[in-house]
Amino acid sequence: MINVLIVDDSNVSRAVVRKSLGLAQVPIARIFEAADGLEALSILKANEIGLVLADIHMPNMTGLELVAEMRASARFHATPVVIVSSDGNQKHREQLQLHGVRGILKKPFRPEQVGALVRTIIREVGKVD
Amino acid sequence: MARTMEKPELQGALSRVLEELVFALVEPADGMSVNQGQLLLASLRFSGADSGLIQLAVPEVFARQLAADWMGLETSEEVSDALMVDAVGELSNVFAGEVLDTWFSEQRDYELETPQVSRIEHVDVESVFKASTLSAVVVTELAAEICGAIQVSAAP
Repeated sequence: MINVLIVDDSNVSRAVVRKSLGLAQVPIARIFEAADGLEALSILKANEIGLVLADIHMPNMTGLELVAEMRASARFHATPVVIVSSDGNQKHREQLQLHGVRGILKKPFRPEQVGALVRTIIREVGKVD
Repeated sequence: MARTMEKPELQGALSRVLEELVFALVEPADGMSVNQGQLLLASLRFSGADSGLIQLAVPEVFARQLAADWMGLETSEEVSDALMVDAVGELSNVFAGEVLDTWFSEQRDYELETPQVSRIEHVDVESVFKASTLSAVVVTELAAEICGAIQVSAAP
């Protein structure tokens, strides 16, 4: 089982993602949480994180900046990132895809949608390893 | 103007958000009753081919219960004002995304600012929504009335 990091500046937004993962019964070892990209990088450095679920719009370091930092890092460049956001802006989506995000989950979503996406990524990561 | 939106589309966006994010069953309503108690109003500015404001008004009682449910708290009395505002912000943010995806269809080229949440009285919400370009009200199975609106203020 993998550790998952949820990155969002909203407490309730992180809780919604956490609750959805639980309702979808996704096999996860531990869920870590960060309020912005900077905090997320600290948690990534201190722990073995298998998947990052991040919002786009956050103070200090946005989701896009976090993905760029991770891609430039020797340690985290292959860690899958899924963007979880209500932002439907096509340009933002294209930028994120250029940075190699594994998926974009548009809010509102049903627990089974986040469950299916995370299970697919876990399977793919398992095959790579 | 990017496009216009009809009331059923706005009502549909509001219903979808409440059903998928809150698991609340809702029905369309004609307007807001006067006995909803204090309301929380979230306002989000947007810009693109059109500029304006998305607004969402929810009863405080509903907002507290929503925050308690999301945070896994036993009762809504445990919910702080900050958490309640956070919950309304999240709800309004998702609602605004749904509305603007329809309004700016195809390229969806818009920018959305973070929500500003304030307490208002029923009389204030009436004037807010009278000034809107389009508004819609839905009612939950527990009789909470929730109103969403879009106000287009300027064309570039």
